[in-house]
Amino acid sequence: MKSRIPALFTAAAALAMTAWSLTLPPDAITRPKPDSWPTFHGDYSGRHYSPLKEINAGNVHNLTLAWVNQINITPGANIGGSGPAPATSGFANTRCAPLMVDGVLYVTEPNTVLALDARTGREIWKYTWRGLPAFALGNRGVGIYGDWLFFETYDNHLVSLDIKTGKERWNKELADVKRDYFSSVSPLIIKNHVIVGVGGDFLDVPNFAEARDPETGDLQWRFWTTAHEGDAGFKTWPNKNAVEHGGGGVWYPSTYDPELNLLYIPTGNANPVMAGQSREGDNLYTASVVALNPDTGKMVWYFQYSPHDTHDWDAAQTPILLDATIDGKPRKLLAQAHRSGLFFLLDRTNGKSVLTAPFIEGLNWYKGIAPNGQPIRDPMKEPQVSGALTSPNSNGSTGWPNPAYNPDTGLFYVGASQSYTIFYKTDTDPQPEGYSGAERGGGVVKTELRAIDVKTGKIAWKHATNIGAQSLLTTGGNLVFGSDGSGDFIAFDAKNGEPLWHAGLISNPSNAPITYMLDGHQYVLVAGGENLYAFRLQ
Amino acid sequence: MLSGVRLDKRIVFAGGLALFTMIAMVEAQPPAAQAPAPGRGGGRGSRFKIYSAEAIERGLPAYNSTCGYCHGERGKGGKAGPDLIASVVTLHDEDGVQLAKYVRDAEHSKVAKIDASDAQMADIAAYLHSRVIYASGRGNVRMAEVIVGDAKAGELYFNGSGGCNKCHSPSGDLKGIASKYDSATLQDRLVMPRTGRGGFGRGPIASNPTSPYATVTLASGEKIKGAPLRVTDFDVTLRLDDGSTKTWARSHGVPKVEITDPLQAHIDIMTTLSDTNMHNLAAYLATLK
Repeated sequence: MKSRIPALFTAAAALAMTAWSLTLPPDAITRPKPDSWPTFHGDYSGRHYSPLKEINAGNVHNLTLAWVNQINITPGANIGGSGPAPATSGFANTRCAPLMVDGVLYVTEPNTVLALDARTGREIWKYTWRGLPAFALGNRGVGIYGDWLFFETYDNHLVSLDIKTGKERWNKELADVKRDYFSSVSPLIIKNHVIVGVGGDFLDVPNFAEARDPETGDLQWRFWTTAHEGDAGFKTWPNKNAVEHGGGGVWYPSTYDPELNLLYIPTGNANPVMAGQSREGDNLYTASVVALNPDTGKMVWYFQYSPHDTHDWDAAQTPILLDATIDGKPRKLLAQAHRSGLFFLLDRTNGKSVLTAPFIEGLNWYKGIAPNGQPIRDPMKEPQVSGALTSPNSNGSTGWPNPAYNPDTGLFYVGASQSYTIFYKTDTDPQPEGYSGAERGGGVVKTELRAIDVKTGKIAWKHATNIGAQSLLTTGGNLVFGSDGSGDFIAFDAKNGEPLWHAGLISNPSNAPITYMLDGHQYVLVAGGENLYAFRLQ
Repeated sequence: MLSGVRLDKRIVFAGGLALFTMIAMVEAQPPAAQAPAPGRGGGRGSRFKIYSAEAIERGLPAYNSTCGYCHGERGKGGKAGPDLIASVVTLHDEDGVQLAKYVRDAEHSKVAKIDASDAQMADIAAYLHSRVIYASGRGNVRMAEVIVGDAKAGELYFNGSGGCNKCHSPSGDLKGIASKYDSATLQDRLVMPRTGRGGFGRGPIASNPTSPYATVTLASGEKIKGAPLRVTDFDVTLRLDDGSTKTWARSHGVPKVEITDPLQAHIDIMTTLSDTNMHNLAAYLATLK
């Protein structure tokens, strides 16, 4: 009886919480309030578009710095995990999209979550994870369900924190770090599901996405991105061993259509990365977008961008959900500028191709586009022992830094590069391991910010920059916020690409810029390495 | 040869002919027991413990005699045992302790009894861990197999449609080039001689004549040349010939900045060169010893 009282109390409290006063009720993500940025993408659509227009093309020249904060990752009072003590100092390198809810910003580094006061940038609380050595390039941010935060540590733990205090509620191991799995994705909250994923492509592991219970962290379902036995995609692998070494990392935030109740997960490339001889076939569902029912984890459709990939071209770019009229008919669409240099427009109800077009010049790795919209790969442009001069390089024509879509202009904005490299296969063993390939030589011919007309796939405008892939934000003020790769944070005219405003930062913007209303004013927030900058009209 | 392992009879029978094949395979495998080669060691980040070359060298024969029969060449898995590279047991092991415990427990002993000592298990572990590090890296280009083209066709291309002879000569700047570079570097450099990702250096003009240079045209019409340290929509900074730097603010493309790349011909080649011509050219250059 004694043990039941707290349980009853907790249940009653939870019921009360769901009725009112939650920091971010799950259904609030469907139609985000203008004073919030509640997911990595700002909403479920992945557009990185805000209708806010207090800051607009006519007045953006008056945008000024409201505050700047150097992100301090020195561990504080809240510490979780049982690994070695974290370094007591070090520089942050912010790759997340901060979430903003109720005047508080939530920022992540691979082993740190910070709550910052959105009015001042000052720290409210900090949580540090003590993990095991792992690949820790970046972290995309938190997910919020009610008063609970969710964070994936670089060594594959899902941590839930109390949003008010940063105290750990629980943590769950998602994958074995000793197998070289790593995690970087921001959890996505859909109803009572915390959608998470793991990656890793150094030791040929199979990867997966999962739904976890927000209250307990328990597994609800798991989707293997390499089609296991019993799945129709299994026949695109030669055998079970290849599937179990097949890659397909889930290291990029997904998007979701609440009306269709479909979750769109972009998947990583196949493994071994650059030698395909032990995995003949298309290798589903790597380098693809898969549409799942988020309640069951069952796949409804898939589309593979890079069949049998051998160039490290994952599909870890945003599958942007947009609606447009094509040939006189309103369509529910999904647009993705893939790392391989091709822009894909799909019908997001069924995954059928609407158009496929290159968004950069010079691509030489495919022979043509099949009637189903997929590229027909050229086997001679796979890595060769003697070298294959290929465009683009393994970094791709674009990458994980997010593109943006503006429904006012109908344009899809993406940072792009034209690059070349020589891919060498280094492992000719029937069972190659790991990368099994190298790239050398070549170079980058040009880097540009490009605007793609989604209806035609044609380039509406382009603007030379010193950076290829870059994270973008577009707004109802006819603006695109991005950078030039040389430390400048820039507002471009969304219609023609003309730079209208810029601020020279200490280092180049490194994350997805966000925008929100606070105390009646629109703010634009961006990180440059270890510093966070908030801009507004004064 | 199989002194360290006593096999379950069922597996020996089931193996049949495969037994001899596998013994031959283990015998014939290349000497993989060496410290991870440069370029493939450690993958991204130093997440793996590095063991001594001596321990790894002792580990190879110990692995072959104790584990290789079932787990195959270089630990990649055989018909009677799983892959030991992507093995949870190996990956959680440190110094052979966990591996020794695993192979001595009842489950493993049911199929194969392992008699190896703790020291032998530590060596086997060192060898397997070296294989994990190897697998997590990228591997080395197989230099002896890069030159596959037709040197004669390469020479024709060099002097013909490739237009290489407009700037280069086998008896001049390319004399002895094949002795200077390994085969892959030779091939990489014929495509783009500038090294480094991106390929566009920003050094002073005088110190590197193949670096791009910029010409800034001022409102007065004066043209100033220098190494472009920074070119954006909002400013341009050049390193001038005297070593000083100069910055101008820019707006709407004024002042005008033109970049000239002495290696433009290579950029043009890079964007159009076929693999056949690349391989033929590499074969031709490889004759210029």
